[in-house]
Amino acid sequence: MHNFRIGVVKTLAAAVAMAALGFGTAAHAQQGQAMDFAKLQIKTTKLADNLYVMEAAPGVGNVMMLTGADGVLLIDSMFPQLHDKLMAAIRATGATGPVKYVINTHLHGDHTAGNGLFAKDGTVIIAQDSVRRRMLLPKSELTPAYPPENVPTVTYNDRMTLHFDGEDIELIHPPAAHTDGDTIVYFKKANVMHVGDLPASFRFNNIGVNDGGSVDGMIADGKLVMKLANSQTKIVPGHLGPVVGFKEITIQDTMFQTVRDRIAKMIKQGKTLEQIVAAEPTKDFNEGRLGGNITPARWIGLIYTDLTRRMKK
Amino acid sequence: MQPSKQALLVLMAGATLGLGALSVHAQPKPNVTASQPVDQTTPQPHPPFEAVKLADDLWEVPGAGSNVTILVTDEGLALVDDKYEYHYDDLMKVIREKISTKKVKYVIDTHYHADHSGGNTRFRPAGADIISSIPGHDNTVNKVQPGAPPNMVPANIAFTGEMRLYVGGREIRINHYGPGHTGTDVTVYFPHARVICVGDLTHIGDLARGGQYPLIDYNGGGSIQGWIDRLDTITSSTVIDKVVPGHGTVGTKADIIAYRDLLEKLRDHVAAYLRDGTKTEADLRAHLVRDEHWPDPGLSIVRSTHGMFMDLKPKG
Repeated sequence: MHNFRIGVVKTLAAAVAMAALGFGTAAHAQQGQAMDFAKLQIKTTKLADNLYVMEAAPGVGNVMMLTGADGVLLIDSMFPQLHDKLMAAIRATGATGPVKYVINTHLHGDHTAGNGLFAKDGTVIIAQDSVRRRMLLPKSELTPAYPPENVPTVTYNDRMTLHFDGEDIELIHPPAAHTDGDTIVYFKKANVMHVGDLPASFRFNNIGVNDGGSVDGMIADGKLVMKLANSQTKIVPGHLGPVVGFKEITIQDTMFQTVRDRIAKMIKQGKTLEQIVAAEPTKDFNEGRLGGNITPARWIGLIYTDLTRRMKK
Repeated sequence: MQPSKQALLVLMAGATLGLGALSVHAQPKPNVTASQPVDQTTPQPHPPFEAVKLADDLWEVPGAGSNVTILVTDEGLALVDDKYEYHYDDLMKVIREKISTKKVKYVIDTHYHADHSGGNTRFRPAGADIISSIPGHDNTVNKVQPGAPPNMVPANIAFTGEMRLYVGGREIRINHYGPGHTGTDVTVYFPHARVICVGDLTHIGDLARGGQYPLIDYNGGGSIQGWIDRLDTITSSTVIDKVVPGHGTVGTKADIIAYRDLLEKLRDHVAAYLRDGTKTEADLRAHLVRDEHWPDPGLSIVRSTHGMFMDLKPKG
């Protein structure tokens, strides 16, 4: 037990630094390190006549595809190492048209690293303003470098709608949550919604605390999704899936609020991060959520970073 | 269909004003007099289009329909407005011969009127992305514009607020403002050249020919106060060297301010006329025609009067 505690504390500094970097889904995933792409297979799920979800692995952002007479539209782009497999999966559905658009749900590399290979072939990359702005920030400890070819070339700041393949596609920019450049993509006719990394995946959801995200934003936007959607909406999360409903979002919402309150209370009691991690405030939520990039210790670190920063202000 | 002499005169006036967009198709709609000009689908003769250079990589094709601004990049062309559909071949001819052979990547509609967005019908199938405000898209789909050609194609990318395009190393800023000339107006700004395309939010160089009778498309979401506010926003927030209006000649920021002042004067004049609460809409219309010399029948008197009356009459 003693050794275990030391182990926790020793790795904590690194874990917090990594978490603060958004390491799990930004720099780390951006480079595609620690993932054996050769072994990954893409699983395709059909959601409607012309709508599909492509999943590669828990650490790879789920891609959605709309196909039809106008061509192909994707949400997020996986990694360049998976480009050929993703294209093969697209073609395997019978989709023959060019990939005209990629919409990024946010800037993190596990959702955008594949952009460049599409853009090279003429695909237009679309995202909220902040995605481009943050991708172009000079490299620093807190901002990993994003390759210029992955940067979106069509951006919006408020609302955007696309009309493509007979669908009306709404891009909704919610208040900052996972990052300050999040986009919810709603296929109105099919009643399908891709929510990126808003809290819909059954895991310890990464919070981009250095990309404008916050724990309170995550909680608020989880609720917002349930307002924008209806009980029939097929909700595609950024990871895991392929589809969740209000039940799953509510479960995540409860976890977020409970753990946030526990951590906030301990911060107010003057506890250090090490003490908070040792108190295991996620313990009753660990079942089924372990094994991802974001361990309980890292997740607690993210929430701690966010809450303490705001308390200082 | 052969227009009557009177209708032809009105048509010419309308075309000069860039008001042809609201002229009436063969079937008159309620709220519009039958003596309005003929349809917008029959090609009207026009002088050959010319290409005017605004900056190293920025061109204008003025003339019939609407002014068209063209950004030239290695990645392709971005157009602001695309005239009537029937101008497409002549427009593409002058672009190909005088400006560039690159593909047209983007077309931005400054608003939904057919003299600015009619060309979408050809540009969209040719592979261009068409961009407008969300109300601009919706007004086209809902056929809000009386007498619009029946085959108009709405934008496939629409937005509210601001959007930006990055093409061939250049940035294009597109802003939607809410009610103005219509409820769909956007401006298109090229920061590298400090050129702004304002669509019909400002008339330049055609005031003597009728630009002083503003067409406030209330049915399409326009508002005289909103229009004044929009122009204030534009002049206070943008560094501007050149202004490309939807019709007329290229000008400067001073022209936007002058047009804003004209609108304010009109607003104050109409509000003062209505102030005692006894005047009807018919009175206002008669006053504008008789005392202010608004052309009648004319698109501005038809489209602006009711909205201004409702907007500016004493409340309560």
